[in-house]
Amino acid sequence: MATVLDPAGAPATDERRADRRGGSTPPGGRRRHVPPLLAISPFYMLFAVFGAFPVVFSMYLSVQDWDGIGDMRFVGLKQYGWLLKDSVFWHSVLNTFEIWFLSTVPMLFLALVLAFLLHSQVRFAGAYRVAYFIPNVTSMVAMTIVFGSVFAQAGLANALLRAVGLDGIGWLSSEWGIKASVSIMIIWRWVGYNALIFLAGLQAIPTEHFEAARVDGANSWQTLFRVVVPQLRPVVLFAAVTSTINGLQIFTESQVLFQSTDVGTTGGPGQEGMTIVLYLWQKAFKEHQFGYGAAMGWLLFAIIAVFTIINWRLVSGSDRDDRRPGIAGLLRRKGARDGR
Amino acid sequence: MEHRTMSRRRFLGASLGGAGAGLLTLSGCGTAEGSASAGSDHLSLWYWKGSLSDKLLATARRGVPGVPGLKVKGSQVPDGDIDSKVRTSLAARAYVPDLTVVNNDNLATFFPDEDEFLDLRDLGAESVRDRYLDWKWKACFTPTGRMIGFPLDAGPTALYYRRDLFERAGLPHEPADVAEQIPTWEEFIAAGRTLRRKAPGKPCLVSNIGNVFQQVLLQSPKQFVDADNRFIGDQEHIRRAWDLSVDILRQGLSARITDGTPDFNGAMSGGRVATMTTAVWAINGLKDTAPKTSGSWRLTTLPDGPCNYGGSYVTLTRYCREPEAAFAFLTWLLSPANQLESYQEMALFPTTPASYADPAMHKPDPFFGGQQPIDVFGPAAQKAPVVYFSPYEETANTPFFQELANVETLGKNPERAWRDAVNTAETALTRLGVS
Amino acid sequence: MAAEHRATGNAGLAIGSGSRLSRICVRGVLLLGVLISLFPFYWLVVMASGTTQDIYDYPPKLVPGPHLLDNMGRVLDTIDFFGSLFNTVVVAVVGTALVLFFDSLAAFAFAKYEFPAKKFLFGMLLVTYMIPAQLSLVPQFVTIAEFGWAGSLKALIVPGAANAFGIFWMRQYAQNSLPDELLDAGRIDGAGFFRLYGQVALPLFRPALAFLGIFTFIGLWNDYIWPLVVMIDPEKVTLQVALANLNVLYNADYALVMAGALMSVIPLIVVFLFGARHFLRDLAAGAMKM
Repeated sequence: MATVLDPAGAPATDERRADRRGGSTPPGGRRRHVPPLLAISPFYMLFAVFGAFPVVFSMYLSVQDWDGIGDMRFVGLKQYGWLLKDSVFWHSVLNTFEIWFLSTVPMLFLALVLAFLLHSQVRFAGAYRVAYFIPNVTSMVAMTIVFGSVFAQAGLANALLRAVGLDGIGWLSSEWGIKASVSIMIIWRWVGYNALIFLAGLQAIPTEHFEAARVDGANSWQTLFRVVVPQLRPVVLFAAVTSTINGLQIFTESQVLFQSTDVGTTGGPGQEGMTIVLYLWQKAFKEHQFGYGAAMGWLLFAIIAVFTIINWRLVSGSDRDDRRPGIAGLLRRKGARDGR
Repeated sequence: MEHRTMSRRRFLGASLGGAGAGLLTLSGCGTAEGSASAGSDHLSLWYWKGSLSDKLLATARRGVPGVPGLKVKGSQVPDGDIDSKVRTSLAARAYVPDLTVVNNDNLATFFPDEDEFLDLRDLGAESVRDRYLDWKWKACFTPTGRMIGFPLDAGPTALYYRRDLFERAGLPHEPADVAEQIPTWEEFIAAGRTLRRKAPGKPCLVSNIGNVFQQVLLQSPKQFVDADNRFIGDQEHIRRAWDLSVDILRQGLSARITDGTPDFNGAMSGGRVATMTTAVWAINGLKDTAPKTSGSWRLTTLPDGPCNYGGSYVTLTRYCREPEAAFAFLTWLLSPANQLESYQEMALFPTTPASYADPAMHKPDPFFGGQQPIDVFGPAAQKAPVVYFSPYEETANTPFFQELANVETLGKNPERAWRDAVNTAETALTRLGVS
Repeated sequence: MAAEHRATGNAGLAIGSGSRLSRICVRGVLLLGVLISLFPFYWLVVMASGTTQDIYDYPPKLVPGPHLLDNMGRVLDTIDFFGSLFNTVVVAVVGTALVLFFDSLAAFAFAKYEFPAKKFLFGMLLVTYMIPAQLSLVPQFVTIAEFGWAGSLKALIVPGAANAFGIFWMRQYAQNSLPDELLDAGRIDGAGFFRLYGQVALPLFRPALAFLGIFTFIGLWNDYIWPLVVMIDPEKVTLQVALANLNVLYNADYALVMAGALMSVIPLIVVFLFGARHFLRDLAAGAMKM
């Protein structure tokens, strides 16, 4: 494995090499192309049916009024118009961003700290990694149920607060309590994951850089800021980008946390836990407004696209020479979170 | 129906191209294969926990008495999900239950899709008509005269109250006295103030104000949308329910707890809430939640008089594999004798008046200090007003319940919340073509 | 080799390598992190082994109670636990196997062969990955419904049976770890594309397959929104959906719900602990390779 960590350039080298290597395919007629084309076809067939088609169909659906059972009724762009005026939708957009911010910023910070500490710790490195990664492996449904009981009015969180003489907090019954609860769950789940990614980044920094810094007489903190932070910047930015894409699609935590309460409280009291995807799901699969749900999917897509572009600009500003690894790194970690 | 299905399918096939069209032809599905019980030896029935007798379902699972060879298997679906799950299955035309239980106010939401359900008159429903309450029977019909529901239970309401706490607060505490001296919601609120001041532990009057809003609402024959599909949710009958609820909150008489949460269970068993305004089917839930309070609860007439809250129907979908057998199952499950069983086991109030006179309905209940619940619920079932539910009720009332919860839990300004509720409801209804 | 260039341990970064005190601090913080990471699992065990009444008590009981087996037994009586476990296992195992097969096959072709429109096709593969899954939640459901697959495990397995991420990742691996000389030797022996894939490439892909496999397995096992939408029959759901339903239906019976949650969490943790060593090494190394 020749690739050394260098998010800016290395994979590109590989690709160029791959292209040269292409010459090693045996000579033959057009038929020699059949096996490789056959080999890649399953993906494109599945994508055509379950990826591309639904996207096109989604456009069609979004200009219809349809409950999934009766006849479709063409409504033009009205769904989008209603959506833009739908205060619950905008509330869900705001909630999503607030939860994203409340979770991503502390999560990345904590992950960095953990990565540094893990990097300087040689003993039990394997055990630490396993322990930090386990939250990411377990099902969100089960852990949301656990956190739900911890954050109940008479739950463990408030018991601890009372034990130290503080008043309990309405974790699941106040605006910021709800957002904090959801954010804490997200942080708990992803800190270890990101810490391990950062750790890999740290470990890939060539030793010479540290030695050079030491020769210059830099202390720990100076080393941190002069060597580590610049080297890690792309990795951290990629993590930020992927956290954005995933943060904008929060669903399970909010859905499970409030599912057992009354009908009127999807997303919890004041709908403070209502996220974009939860609202999409509610409109499409609880109230069966398929057209509205499809239109919402497109607005979600637009929002994500805008943020991805902004992030990309930020990232490519730092290493303008080659964007490809930027995309690649993004893919890598997005895949990690989608789990698909 | 089939025509529409075909055209939708052709559209998809054409857009998917060769491969997709091929796959689609392979997977044709008619109504028979659309049933959740396809390929099994039983019919499928969706219900939510507590909506049907567990014992009778267990019998039906082994074989429905009187219908040779018929087995029915019940599947529990959470009650908040069941309508949407049924709709999802109808949209997918797959795994549609043969039979499904539908909640009282939600039957109307299926009226626009009435063709998805079998007309029970075609199966001979008229022959058992005289067994059932008249108003319940009439409510089974869509505006076009199709009978898509079959009467399951009724939901007469009562005021559940803690006799001990009322007594300690110096309030009237025997059921008859309470009914007489607390006849209106205003008197009820006044009693709540006394309880808060004088009863031990300063109990709250209600767990949350949503329950009060719900009952005042159901005491009105008009709801949010009238028979001409006009929004009337901003009118006096709703406003009164809203104001009463907000008043209870403003006077500090609500415990501000969502029902069914651990906090609710704690408050009920700990005597921190002194009353419940709800229907008969809540009895078993209360017994499970607060077993320690057995003996101290009583039942009496709801302030401003009884109403009907919940109570359900059973429907047969058009995917039902054996309609005649399914209907025979219904007449067995919901016969007067079995409704009586269901009442004793699950507090499901019979819709068969013949059951009311049976001695089994008149057993003293130790949980209520030996009171006979039928004495309160029986008259309530007869006096409840007949309410008009439009297909759009849920869409229209959800914003009101939500905003009321905002007022209660987040301290939102009630006037602003009311305006927001009206606006949200109007916007949502516009989308559905209601003005 | 990457490792030669890597800083190892404190040699590189000086934090914590100074005084003994700071070493203790580092260890303390790391241990605290481990505690926070693992505490919810401990708390889950505590709640699953108590009674529902215990959960309302103040101060809360902090040690496991004696009712674990009893509560777990009640879960088995209440829901079809093994049925939904079986569904989840089928989806995760079959889905993972398909992903590994299709992805490695396509990756092999992309890495080692030339064919028309290769650049375009690969570019398209990258672009498809940018489309968020939720955009097409509704149309995807309708498509699956038209196929008559709604409610069937096929709906959970087939749409994701080949994915851009896996192909991309395997291709990267194939380029670096599959020497052309081996393939050329195979060709001299007369092996065609598929034999080269099966006999030369696949054995060398093993580490990458292990990583992608665990990854896909975890993702399929924990998927929630899609099975929630598409698994219509309440008798035929995945473990996640069964647990969510248990939570709604029996929310007053906390001990029962918690026992269910515990039972749903255990199998995957066991699977993960078996493969953790390889998986985490590859996660760390692999993450950097893209």
